[in-house]
Amino acid sequence: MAAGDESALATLFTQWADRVNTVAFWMLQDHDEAEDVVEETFWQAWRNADQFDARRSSGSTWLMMIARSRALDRLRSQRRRTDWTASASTTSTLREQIAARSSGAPDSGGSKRSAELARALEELPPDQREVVELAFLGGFSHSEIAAKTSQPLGTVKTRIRLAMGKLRERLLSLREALDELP
Amino acid sequence: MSSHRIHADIVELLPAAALGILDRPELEPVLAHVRSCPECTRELQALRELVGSLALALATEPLEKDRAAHLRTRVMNRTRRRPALPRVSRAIIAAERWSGWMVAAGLATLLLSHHAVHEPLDYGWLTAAVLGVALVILGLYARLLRKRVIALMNILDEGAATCDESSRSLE
Repeated sequence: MAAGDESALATLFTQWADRVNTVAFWMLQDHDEAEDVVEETFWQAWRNADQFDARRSSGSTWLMMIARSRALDRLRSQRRRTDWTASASTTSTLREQIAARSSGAPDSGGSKRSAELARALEELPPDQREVVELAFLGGFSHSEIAAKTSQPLGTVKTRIRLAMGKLRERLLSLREALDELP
Repeated sequence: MSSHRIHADIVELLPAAALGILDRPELEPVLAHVRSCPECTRELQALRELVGSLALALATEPLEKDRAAHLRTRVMNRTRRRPALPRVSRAIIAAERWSGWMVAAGLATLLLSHHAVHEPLDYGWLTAAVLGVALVILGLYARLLRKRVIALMNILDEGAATCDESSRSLE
């Protein structure tokens, strides 16, 4: 794609459009906005293909990070326009969404990863889970989360760091387990 | 503040950086530190992989078939209007960055060599030094201008992208 091969972009779109739409939809809760994010994501991937470095991240992570950035831009823009503060229902369902995904095909690696992440989220203390959900799906900054949860800024930072550390450990152990499979 | 303390503060912010929730004033020092700290680079990368995994683990919200086809057409049309930026190698970027200084150094060397051989002026060394300083100032000014030009090009690029979106919404 970095060489300007349009067919590579078409293939990428076919394989990943649904996943990109998923991230955008769960963050924005609006189909039209999510579709705009899909378009912007693939457009940016096309334009910046030469910046992708396979040694630094996987292609899927790179694409998901672009999608999240574009969705976050829209979330922030919405908030500036409407002084919008997400209701709890917008951001409290990360666990359920991942659990729903993990119950799909029990034997696939992706599904195992989802199941493990769902379990890891389930096992997080509620206060840590809450801040991760607000940050991941709501795109709220530290100070916004502190205001929403009525907690000191330092506490919010610590909770996010602890929660992400636990999720990461779980993912690492799962990756090792999958690597050991015959 | 000690570099150890700065490192500890940055480590605290890496999860938020990976989640993309830092404001620009918070993010810039984090990225500056990460560029010079291999440990933080690895940590940030691992956290980004985690965020990517969380995104991939969400329950799928598939696009409707005709909507997907329409979107695909929109994306492909957009790429045809504005092709991908050409790949520029790191060597070319480095050469571009240092070429001005190399020319300045070459001119200064020429000037000093000429004076060493011919001694055309009474205060030739002083003149050469003044010219050398002038070249350095000129180089710094050119570097400043280059940054401004790059910033302007980015603004123009963003403007072009916005125009693309506006024209699309008129379609």
